[in-house]
Amino acid sequence: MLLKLIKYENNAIGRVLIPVYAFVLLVAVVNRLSLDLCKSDSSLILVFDFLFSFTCLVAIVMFLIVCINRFISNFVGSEGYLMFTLPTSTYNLILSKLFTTIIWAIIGFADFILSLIIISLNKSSGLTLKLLVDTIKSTTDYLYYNLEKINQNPRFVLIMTFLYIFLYILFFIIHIYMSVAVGTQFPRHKIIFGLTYFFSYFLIFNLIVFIGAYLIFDVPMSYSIGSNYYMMIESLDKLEEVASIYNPHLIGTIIVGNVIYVISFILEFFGVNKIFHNKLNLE
Amino acid sequence: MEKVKNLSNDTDELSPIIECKNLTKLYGKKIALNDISFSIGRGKITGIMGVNGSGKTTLMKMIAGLLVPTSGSVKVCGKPIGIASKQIVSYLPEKTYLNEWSKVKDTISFFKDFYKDFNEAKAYDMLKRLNVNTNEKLLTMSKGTKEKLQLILVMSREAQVYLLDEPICGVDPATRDYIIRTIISNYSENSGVIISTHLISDIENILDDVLILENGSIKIFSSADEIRQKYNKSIDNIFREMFKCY
Repeated sequence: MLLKLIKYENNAIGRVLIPVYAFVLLVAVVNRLSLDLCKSDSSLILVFDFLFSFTCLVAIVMFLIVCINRFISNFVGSEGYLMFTLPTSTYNLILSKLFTTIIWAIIGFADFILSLIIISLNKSSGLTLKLLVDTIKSTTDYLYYNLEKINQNPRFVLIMTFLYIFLYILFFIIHIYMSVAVGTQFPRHKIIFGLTYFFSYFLIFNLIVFIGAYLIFDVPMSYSIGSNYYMMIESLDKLEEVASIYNPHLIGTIIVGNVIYVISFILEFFGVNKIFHNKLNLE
Repeated sequence: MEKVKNLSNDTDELSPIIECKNLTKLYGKKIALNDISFSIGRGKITGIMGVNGSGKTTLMKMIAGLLVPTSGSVKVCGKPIGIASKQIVSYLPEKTYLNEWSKVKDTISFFKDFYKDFNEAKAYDMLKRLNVNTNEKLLTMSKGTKEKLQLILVMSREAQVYLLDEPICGVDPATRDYIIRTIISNYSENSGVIISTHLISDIENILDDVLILENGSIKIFSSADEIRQKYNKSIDNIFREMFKCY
């Protein structure tokens, strides 16, 4: 039953996101051609760069809107009349939405990487596929070297980092579902109550992560994990610099964050399931 | 009137298709259903009637599993509301619940995939008889055609309980006749049909039992013939007089 639900959910999301993702690739190809054709006209290249960034932003916004809208229309809207009369459990309905959203998030990320490769690999920039592979390899080596220098297991840190990104996406999705579910429990002002839960939980959540990191890894309370990500984004043009931002504070916060994400995901998943199973009130 | 009444004397060995015990539903402070108990036997067509806000749709939604009772219980063929009950209940809501971007044939595939008792051949036959194009998208359909499609999907299941909330409200008189004939043809000794409607005169001739709700309580629950004999009027006329607006 879960696979059937995922199949139909994929069809519903795919009909919107496939054209959007295809458009991102198309803009990347146009951008690449513009780099080849307008070598001397830097203003045109800037326009195409902006166009690509804007398209990526639209794709992310579209992805969020489609996934949230699917959940709301299927669980709170008129399509709920169909979903909740299907002979399946509530957790299967939630899991199907969750899995499909993750699948389309991964496809979107792959689409973005492919677009970047299309744009980057051109004669004028001098970047070739071989050079790109070599840069990634040298960055990894430098990262291993840096982490060993501060007495950290590089493999463990890398796994924890990827897990952190994955768990963050998972937590973010279930947190949206939970906020919608909380909103439905109020006869009026559902959106306001849903948003209040969404933001207040995030605030408490971040506080727990910082307190946990302080107590376990002695990370200063003033330390912000976000600042490291901004540094990482700023230094994307020099890949080697990404490797140098790791420090024991960041690693400690990532580990505590992962544990809290897992606990939070479990709590919110059962919370959503409980609300829609025991307190369903489809209008 | 007596709160608990079993009209299914002929099917005592089997569980009633619907059994409600002390069922109450509150929306905030407002009482939608007030401690009602009744059971409906197999092989019957039962009409649920009442003015707007009397609790008809709330009752239907609780049987379908779309609302959770504040207190009391509902059982379908002896099963509490859950996956097992949803396998045997075919519910037609008063709302359009299908994806607007779907084609008719997609909705058929969907029902075939999720309901073991769905009869695909019967669905296509009904679509043909009611002139519904299988390649048409719901987005371009009229409200009446969408209602026809939903009814076809629901009636193409070989379910034990058909819950039909206003099934003939938005369709033309010719289609109404066809729908009523379809409901009768789905009759079997082991299944039951429950219809909620305001168009009493159109369906009263096919009803075996009538349940009239008023302000969330049962006002009348009896066989259609008994009610007609007692008041010496049609059910439509009884209803009009009972809830006359001044």
